[in-house]
Amino acid sequence: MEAKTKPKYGIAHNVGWMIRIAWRVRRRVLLVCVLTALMEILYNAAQLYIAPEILKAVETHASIEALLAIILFFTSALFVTQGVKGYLDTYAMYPRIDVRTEIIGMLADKCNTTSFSNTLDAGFIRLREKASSATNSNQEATEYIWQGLTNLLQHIGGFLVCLSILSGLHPALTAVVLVTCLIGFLASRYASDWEFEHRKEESTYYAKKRYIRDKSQSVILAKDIRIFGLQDWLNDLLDDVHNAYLDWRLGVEKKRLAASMTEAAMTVARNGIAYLYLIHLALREGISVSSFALYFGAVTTFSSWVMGILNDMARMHKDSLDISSVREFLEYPEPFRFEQGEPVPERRPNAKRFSNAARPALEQSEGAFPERRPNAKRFSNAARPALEQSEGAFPCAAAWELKLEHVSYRYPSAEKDTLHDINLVIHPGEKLAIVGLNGAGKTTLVRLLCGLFDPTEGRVLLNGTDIRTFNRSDYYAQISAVFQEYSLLDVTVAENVAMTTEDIDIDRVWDSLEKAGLKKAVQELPKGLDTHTGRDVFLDGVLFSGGQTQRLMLARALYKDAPLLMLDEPTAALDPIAENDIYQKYNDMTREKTSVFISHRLASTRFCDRILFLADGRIAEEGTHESLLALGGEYAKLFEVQSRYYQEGREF
Amino acid sequence: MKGDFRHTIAAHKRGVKELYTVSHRLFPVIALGAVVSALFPYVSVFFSARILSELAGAHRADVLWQWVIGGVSVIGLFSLANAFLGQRQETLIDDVWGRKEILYCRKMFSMDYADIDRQEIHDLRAQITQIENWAGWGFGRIPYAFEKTIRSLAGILGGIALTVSLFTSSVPEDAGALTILNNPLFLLLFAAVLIGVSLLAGKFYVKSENYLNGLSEEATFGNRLFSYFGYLGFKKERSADIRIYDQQRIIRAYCKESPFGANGSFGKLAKGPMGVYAGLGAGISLLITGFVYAFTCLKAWGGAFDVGSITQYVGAATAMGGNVYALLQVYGEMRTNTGYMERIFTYLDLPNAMYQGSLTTEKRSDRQYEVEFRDVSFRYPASENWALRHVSMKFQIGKRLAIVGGEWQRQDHLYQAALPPLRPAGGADSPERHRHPQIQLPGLHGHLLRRIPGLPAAFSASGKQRRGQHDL
Repeated sequence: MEAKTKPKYGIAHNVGWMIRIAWRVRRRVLLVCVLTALMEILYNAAQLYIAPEILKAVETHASIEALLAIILFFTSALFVTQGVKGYLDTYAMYPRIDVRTEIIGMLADKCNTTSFSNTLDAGFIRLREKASSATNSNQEATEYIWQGLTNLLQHIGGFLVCLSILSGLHPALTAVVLVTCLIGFLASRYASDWEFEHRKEESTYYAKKRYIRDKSQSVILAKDIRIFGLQDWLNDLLDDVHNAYLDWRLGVEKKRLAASMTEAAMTVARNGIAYLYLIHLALREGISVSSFALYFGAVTTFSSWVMGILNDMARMHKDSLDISSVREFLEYPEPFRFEQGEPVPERRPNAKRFSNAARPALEQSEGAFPERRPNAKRFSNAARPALEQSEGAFPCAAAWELKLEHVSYRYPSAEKDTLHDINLVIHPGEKLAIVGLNGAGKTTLVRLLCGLFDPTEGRVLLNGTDIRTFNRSDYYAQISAVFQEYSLLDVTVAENVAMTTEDIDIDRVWDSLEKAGLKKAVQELPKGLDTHTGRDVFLDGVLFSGGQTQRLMLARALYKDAPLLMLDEPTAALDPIAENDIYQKYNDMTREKTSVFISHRLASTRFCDRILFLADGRIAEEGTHESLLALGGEYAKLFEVQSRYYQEGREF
Repeated sequence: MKGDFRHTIAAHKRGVKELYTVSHRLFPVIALGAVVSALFPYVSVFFSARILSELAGAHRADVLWQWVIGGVSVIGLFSLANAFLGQRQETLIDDVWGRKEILYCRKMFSMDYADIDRQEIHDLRAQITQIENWAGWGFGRIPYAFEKTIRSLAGILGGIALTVSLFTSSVPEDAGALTILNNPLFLLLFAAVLIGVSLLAGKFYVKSENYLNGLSEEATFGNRLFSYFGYLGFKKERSADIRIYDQQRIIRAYCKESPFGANGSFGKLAKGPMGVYAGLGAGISLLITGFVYAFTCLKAWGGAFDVGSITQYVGAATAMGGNVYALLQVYGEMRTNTGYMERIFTYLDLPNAMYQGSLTTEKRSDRQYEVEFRDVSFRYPASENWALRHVSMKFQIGKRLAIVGGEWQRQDHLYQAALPPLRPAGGADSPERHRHPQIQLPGLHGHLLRRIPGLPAAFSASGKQRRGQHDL
């Protein structure tokens, strides 16, 4: 059983919050609630009085015209109130959906723009799940609240009407009704509370079933399932999970049944006592048949109004808990600065090339390349001429320089640093390659450079300013990236490249696709740039292969044309010819940009100005390809391993 | 989505059969519960009428107490039965809901890989999920329709039982003009009004529902839109790109395309004709109340029966009218549901060619298996392009074969055709399965293969469980 935590906001606060959102988004939600409740109150009042009034007319032998007039009056009242209510019930859902979708939009906004570190925070994720479950159907809190309010208004109105009728009787009768209703309510509340406290068990079963169901539909897993004959095992698993769920469900049934039986017993007691009292009145005081019918009708409906109010309050309490989760999620603290952060300064239009003339000044201001590990090789002057020869001394119009000062990073709950005491300067316009074995910390380093993580120690500086002071979204705008895990949307090709639905520069899109080697494939699509990439939403979309998707991601990065370009294994899914094509274009792609390239394939490092070899979270080696080979260290060993299979006459 | 009467009944009959195979107790419990809840109001009406009649008539205390004690006891029993059967029904429906999902999963697991690889199958499966999520169409409607039908029929019969004496009791001759109410034609008129108004109300209801049905494709699109764009940020692997490329802008733009909402297609219809017809349907059925009151009260006014009986006849007739309306309503829903059920049956009836063979694969202790391609070609259904063309080769035992090629060269098809999840489209004698069409593929897979290269099966099972799955 989970420990109970007090919600941050109470019922009144949450109802007020929902009303404010409805007022902003769709005011008619509130009008529909009030009108529907009013119609229902009038309808029930008409139902309450129709029989007694007609019986009185018959009892007293009123004229036929008077009798028919009473019947016509009440029938019209019933027709109008039910007709209007029927209309409102049909219409009510849609403005309510507007309010719920507004809240879904707010949740999506929070999810998609929150500090990246929050996406790894267990507390954030837990709250997100709770908030999302409050919005994922018409019956959940963020939409059902309106029905709940309507029901409450209606039940309170009906309660007052019945109370006014019963006020003519002994107050003990009213007290009996209230007490029996309360007992019935407490019994059903006990069952609901039990179910709520064991909700986690239910969620576990649902999660397991959903997991297996999703796997059954996976095309990727379908081959393994058939080759390894996993069908029977998975079917048995499903049965086991369902049977376990059913056992839990039977426990719920027992509790609910006990509550229902208690309510039924209370109903019998209430009706019995009401009959006894009213018959006593009829026999002793001679009340009329119509009055008897009116009073008995009032007792029955009064009890349903009281139960209704109690159930409405219970439901609103539950809905309020869910809405409180939504609000707490939306208010989850942000470790990064956004609107409160500084804007990233404009790039200097006349930024100096990183030329030999500028080098001494740079070395003076940056302390050359500060020492890293004692045995790490410096990017030495001896190597410089070769580099300058190949790259023309850091050709660069960009002004961005990235610097890591004693940066360490440790993942939440990790026992040791993934990166430790990294000191690194990436010069404007430099092409830096980062290589290393799995788990060396390459991707973590790139994420730190991208501002997705903040270091646990040290600082990341952009042109000498700690990036934590910037508006983080502004900082992201300076980066184009191709990560190993990417987000391809089920939108058009053009929109996936331009990352917008408006003001798309089509020529630039084609140019980016051409540079990424995807232009021909897109031209061959029936709808060209308007083709949807995926079939989750638009069923006429196409599914790109892994290589095509990677090229599309590259095209997107090129279209954005940001001054910092981060490529994490951008050619992993490409064959050698396609990969070579990208390498040939690499200079062109990275012109006037500062770029970082991660790859396992050391061939790519040939196109970079400098190579970092990471090991155990530190920069183990640094230099050009030739200097690192000459060094004969880990990089050289890795290169030798990769190249041996391509060399003639080698034995394995 | 419309079906004629026989088609509708046949589709739902099959639905009942399918659900009966997974839960034998569901429908008997529903039927019993429906009868109890249908008769429950009549029991209250009957005893109330007896008490009122006694109060209006002889006013005998002992008779009154008998009616009260009898009435409260019987109503108490009905309440308890209703509570018990209601809870049982809920649990059984929950059980069936889960087992229905298992049915779908089993079907998916049993399919030939070539079908799993087809987008149409996944689209069909996704549509079924969307159908069921949107207003619970499909199998979810079957128990509900069954319950409502039984309850309506029981309610009509109960109503008839309590209103028979309304027509057999005559207005005395000294009532004057009111004796016209004794004419048997009034029985016909009564029945005609009851059925006519119910039919009219039902017609309005169906007309209103038809607007909704016409938008079912938009509704499933809207659900897909929200299910996708509303929850993209939940996927960890997308988090970095969403921020670097500010994808929230484009997500927001797409979410605005939803057809739901007051200003969307649904909202506009609900504000207009759909809402009006629904309102008329809800209101018109109450005209029965007025008519029944008029007829009953005039007869009572004329002295055909006492005042207390009015409540019995009005209560029973009104409930009966409500049940006629409910019966028509449930038929309208069943007609709508027929189209959705057909999609589900299309999925469940997909043939499994994979498991047609009767020959088992020989399990050899020397593991000397041989697979040969003889002039094998392959292309995807509905594709003009060949993925493999005239491939002939033999897989030699003990040799290690490398398959290489550029991007889009379909080397993965080559090994898949050997396995063979994919079915070759041509070739004189294709791999074993084609030469021996009776071989059971699961056996073939089991004996030939240990591992598929590429992406591993990502099940959260222990290594022991995974290893235990296969015993070569």
